[in-house]
Amino acid sequence: MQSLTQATSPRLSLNPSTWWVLAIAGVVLCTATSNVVVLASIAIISVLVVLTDAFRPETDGRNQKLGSLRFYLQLAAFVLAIRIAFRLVFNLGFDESDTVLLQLPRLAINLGIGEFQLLGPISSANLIAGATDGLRLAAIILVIAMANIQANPKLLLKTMPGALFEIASTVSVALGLAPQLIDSLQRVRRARRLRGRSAGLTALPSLVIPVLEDTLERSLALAASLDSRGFGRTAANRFPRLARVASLLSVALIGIGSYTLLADPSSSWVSWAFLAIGAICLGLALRLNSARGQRSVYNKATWMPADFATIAIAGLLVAVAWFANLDWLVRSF
Amino acid sequence: MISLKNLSFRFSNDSEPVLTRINLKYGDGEFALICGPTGSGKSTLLKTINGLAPHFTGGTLGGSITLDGIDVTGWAPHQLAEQVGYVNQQPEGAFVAETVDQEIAYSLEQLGKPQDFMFSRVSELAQLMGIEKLLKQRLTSLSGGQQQRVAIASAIAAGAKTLLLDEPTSALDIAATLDIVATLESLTKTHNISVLLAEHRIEKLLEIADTLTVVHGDGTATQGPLQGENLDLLFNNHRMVPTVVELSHFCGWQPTAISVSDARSRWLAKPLAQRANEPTPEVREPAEPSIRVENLTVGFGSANEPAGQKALADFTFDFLPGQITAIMGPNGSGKTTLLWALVAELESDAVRTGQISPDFKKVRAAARLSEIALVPQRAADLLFLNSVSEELDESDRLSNLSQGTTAAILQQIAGRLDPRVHPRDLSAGQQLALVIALQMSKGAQILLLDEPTRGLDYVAKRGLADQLEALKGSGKTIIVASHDVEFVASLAERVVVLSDGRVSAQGSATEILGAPGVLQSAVAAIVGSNGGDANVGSNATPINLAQLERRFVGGAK
Repeated sequence: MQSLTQATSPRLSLNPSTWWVLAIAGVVLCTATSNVVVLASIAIISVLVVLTDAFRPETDGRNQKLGSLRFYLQLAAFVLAIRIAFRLVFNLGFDESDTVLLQLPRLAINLGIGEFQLLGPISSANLIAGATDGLRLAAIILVIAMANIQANPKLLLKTMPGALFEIASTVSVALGLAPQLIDSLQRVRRARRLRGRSAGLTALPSLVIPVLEDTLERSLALAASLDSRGFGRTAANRFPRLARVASLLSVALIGIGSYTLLADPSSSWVSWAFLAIGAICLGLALRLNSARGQRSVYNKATWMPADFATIAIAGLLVAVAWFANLDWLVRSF
Repeated sequence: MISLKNLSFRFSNDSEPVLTRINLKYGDGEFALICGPTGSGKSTLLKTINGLAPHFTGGTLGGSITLDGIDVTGWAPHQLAEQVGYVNQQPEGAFVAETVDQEIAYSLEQLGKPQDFMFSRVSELAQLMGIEKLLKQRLTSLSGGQQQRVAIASAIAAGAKTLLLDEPTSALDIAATLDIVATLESLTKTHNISVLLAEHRIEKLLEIADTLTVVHGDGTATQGPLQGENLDLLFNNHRMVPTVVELSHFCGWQPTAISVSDARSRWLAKPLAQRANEPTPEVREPAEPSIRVENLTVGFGSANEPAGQKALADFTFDFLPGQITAIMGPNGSGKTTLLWALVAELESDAVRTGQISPDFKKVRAAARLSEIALVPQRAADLLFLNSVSEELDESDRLSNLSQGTTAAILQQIAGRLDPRVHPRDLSAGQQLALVIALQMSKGAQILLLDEPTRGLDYVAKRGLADQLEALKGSGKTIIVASHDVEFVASLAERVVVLSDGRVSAQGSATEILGAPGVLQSAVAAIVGSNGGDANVGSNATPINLAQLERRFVGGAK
């Protein structure tokens, strides 16, 4: 618990959306490159951003931020280790022409669906490929962690158009339940030790049942609270049919557009046309449906020059990566 | 103005109705206290008023509900958001936003109020509830009392003139309870908001409430002003008689006194006669302590707490067998940390120094249970099987006991429970008894209980007190962490008061709960002498009814 005087303003220096645009740009960069240096820099920069912000004197919730960061770092390290371990154990991507670094005994296992091999020779190329793969996932985890820690997803959801409000609220409630789940898990685990139980698999129900019950109770309380506070009020939609047609059209057009673009890049101008019309329909649908809700937003996040600058730089980086590596990107989808 | 006409409610067609054709009326600015035993339908009554029942709970509603002349029967909660505010038992579980100001603004957002209006309304409410300094804080960093204030501010933000509160003080310590009660009173008096409050612990509320509604549990409800003969009628159901009323009955006062100050002036005017042959309290041989704690200090790493402040600092105490020791103090003062330190199950990041003997750190959890047992704050966390009998059998199996041992312990402390019942369907008091039995099955000599009276009505509390008395009689050491003064006064011999992790007072229960202050028990406040040292020898101020009855001859009714 923090002291009352400490926290004055939790105002983020960037709009929450900017953080997520940044994260998406980071993810695109990570998928577009296999350069270890780029991947490592993305990971390190993400961590540094969080650390710098956490140690500013005016930041509140420092421990919470550092705690989350620690969790994501552990997750990233775990993923990295697993990717490398998989390469070694399942002997993936070993090329006979590579120099062998370490000769492990080769185990052939036949499960009736064809033979596959475990362990075997390990080359440095093999290891590097595993590390790159793992590093890419780790960097993606960390860049998303950065956005998640810096810009609360709940704040982002508030900036959603009114038509998506119900979905946004559902996501927001679900996100809010996650930390509570961890809390009750810890509490029940401690309580279970009081009853002198072993931590074996047979003890699983003693853990799962109270936690699930807790979560269910909490969800119901939250839902009741939302409803009592006016959630779910809607005004009449003036053009219900038009709104429905526009939403359906937008889904169909965007679906067709992206499929043709990815499946056959040569027909790109047709695809782009589909996408453009789809986007217009989507905008129309959102606009019509948003008019239904009569909500307003308290303390709406504003867009500052810093936001535009950040987004421009992120866009530039992505554009460079895109044009340098377009083929690869398309294939990877 | 709320009026309920012929209101009936049942959860399903084949179940007993919770409410049967009740008629109640609540005026503007009325402070209405709603009480009744656990499971009597208090909460359901509140929920029908803002539509949570049946819209949320399911079930069928009969009769009509009128709000300021408009028939709102069957309206959904969100349709009533401007008229009725609802505060749940555990506000921390019902928060929908991240920070205090966003939480207060939430219903304003839903109603589409303009930005400027929201800003001014939020600051106005913050001022009203005394939480201006907390506006930008995260809700999770608030204390229980602060959370309750935020929940109330949020509930009335949209302009609700009716505020429904379901057991708002059950988790709060005494200071926070008094604080919330005073705030609610000012809401009714200066802002003309009707407050309908359901609660078990009603000592502090009787003094300020305007009317009392008793939900009897058989579907009926009685309503009346909190004065005169009405009270006897309202309290003829003995399941929820608070100490003051019980004392009034013993003294034979007509009409019944409801507030401590009222009872005090009546006592001073005409005290009861002392018994001639007052039994002298038996003096017992001082026994060897069963747990000896020396300089126990527990910290959770410097990051989580202000510099130099520990969760528990320099705690030294000898716990004696055959005694009940109460650990008191506000929320967050280190009571729970002490209990978990005694069973050596602190969180992994806790740093502990000092001596506890015997120290159970090296003992395996299963073996430890034959020495010491802890019943945690949420006792139900220990229950997960499908019936009482399964829980009992599992306990026998786990502890290598012959079948029926745990059941026998349960029967001894709580009477018979239907073995086929699902543990979740037991009342809070029965669940607690079951968990105590499970934890005591290996014959532990030391029993620790963390805040056991939360959510218990007067009858269940008395039941628990009897169970603990019986265990004490068999020589067990019992340590109870609680902020329930009346409960502690009714059974503890010794009291330790913690404040910010340090012992701020310790002594016999008579010394601590008999002296003026927030921890003074109702009986002591009424019959204690002013000033002077009243706590000497056999003339010590009685702190509970049993002591009072031993000392004085009851008055005629």
